[in-house]
Amino acid sequence: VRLFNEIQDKSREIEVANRHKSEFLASMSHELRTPLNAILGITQVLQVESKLLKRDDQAEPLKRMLGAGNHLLTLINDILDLSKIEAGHMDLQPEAVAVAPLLDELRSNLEPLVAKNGNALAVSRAPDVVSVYADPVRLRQALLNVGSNASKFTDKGTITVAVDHDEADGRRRVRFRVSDTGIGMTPEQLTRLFQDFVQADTSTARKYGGTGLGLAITRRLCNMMGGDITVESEPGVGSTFTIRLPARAEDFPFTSPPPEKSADEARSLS
Amino acid sequence: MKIMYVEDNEDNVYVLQRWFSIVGFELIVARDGEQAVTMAAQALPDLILMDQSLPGIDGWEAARRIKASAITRHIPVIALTANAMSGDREKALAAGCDDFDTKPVDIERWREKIRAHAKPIGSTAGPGKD
Repeated sequence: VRLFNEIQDKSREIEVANRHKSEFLASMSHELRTPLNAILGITQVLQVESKLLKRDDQAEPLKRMLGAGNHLLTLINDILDLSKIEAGHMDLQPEAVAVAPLLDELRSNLEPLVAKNGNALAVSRAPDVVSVYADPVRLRQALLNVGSNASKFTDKGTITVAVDHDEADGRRRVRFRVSDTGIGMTPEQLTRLFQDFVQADTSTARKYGGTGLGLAITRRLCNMMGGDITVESEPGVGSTFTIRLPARAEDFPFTSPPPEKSADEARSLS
Repeated sequence: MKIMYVEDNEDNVYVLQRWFSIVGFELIVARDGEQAVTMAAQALPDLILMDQSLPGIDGWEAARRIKASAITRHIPVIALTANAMSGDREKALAAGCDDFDTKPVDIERWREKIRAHAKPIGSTAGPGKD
């Protein structure tokens, strides 16, 4: 019994230490952004100046500085989000979100990304899907994340966003399916997909950029909103990510917390 | 073209000073919300770029006051916020702002916003004729 108590005390200590670590990371990330934003801003001004002065030799290094800086900024933002979630500081405010304007906004946010790789974008909604019960900010983030992933890994193909309903255990859920005709993933790659800092392949980061945190964050956000995210994929054919979220407040599954980090996440919902 | 920038971060002010001096725009800077309201009425800029997190009264309140005054209500106000996804667009429009964008400084995007809102329309030097 004494041993058991000791183990319990130790695990509590570890939990507290872990929370402190997450809080530290969250405040650090914020502090890191301010000077980085200054660097990015000044680099942009230099870019404008070098164009004006026809200093073509400076175009490439400035582009690389901005590219690397923006990558670093994405990393910091992702770490900030993840540590907020881990520390239980991610406050979600679910409400009835109108789906049609949400999709309009998603389309205009995705269009420049999709165009970059010569992809086409098709967005459709089943007429009976009017609203979804979710935190509007985090829902946008989740959809944008999955959508930008799709266009990143697809070249001269099609990205499809299709929204409809499904029903399980008497709960009505809105289903956002984001499909691409891109490079796809093998079953082994799929198993590692939603883990922190893991992309399908270690060479992926070099070739496609990104932090490898986006899907881990998206999965946590979907779980916290009472839904989930799943993926189907075939190498060389494409991938489909499906996000399912409660259609109405009464469809919110308070009784079945997500499998991981349930204590933290339940707390942050209250 | 005279543009007022409401911002308390020195580095951001520096970036806009340098950028606007290249494209030939006059820049005036207010460091907090109160100053923004006073300066807008005195200097009557062609456009206002307004950061939202400011010491004293915040950017929302400053925008509301600028839009409530008969002297300054015609001046386009573009709200700038730290987070793209936090429902700030609605908040900006509710405060009477004409448009909304996000920080950090994004010259390409901000240039388009300034072009779209700044008058006089006949002005030849648009920002970023680079």
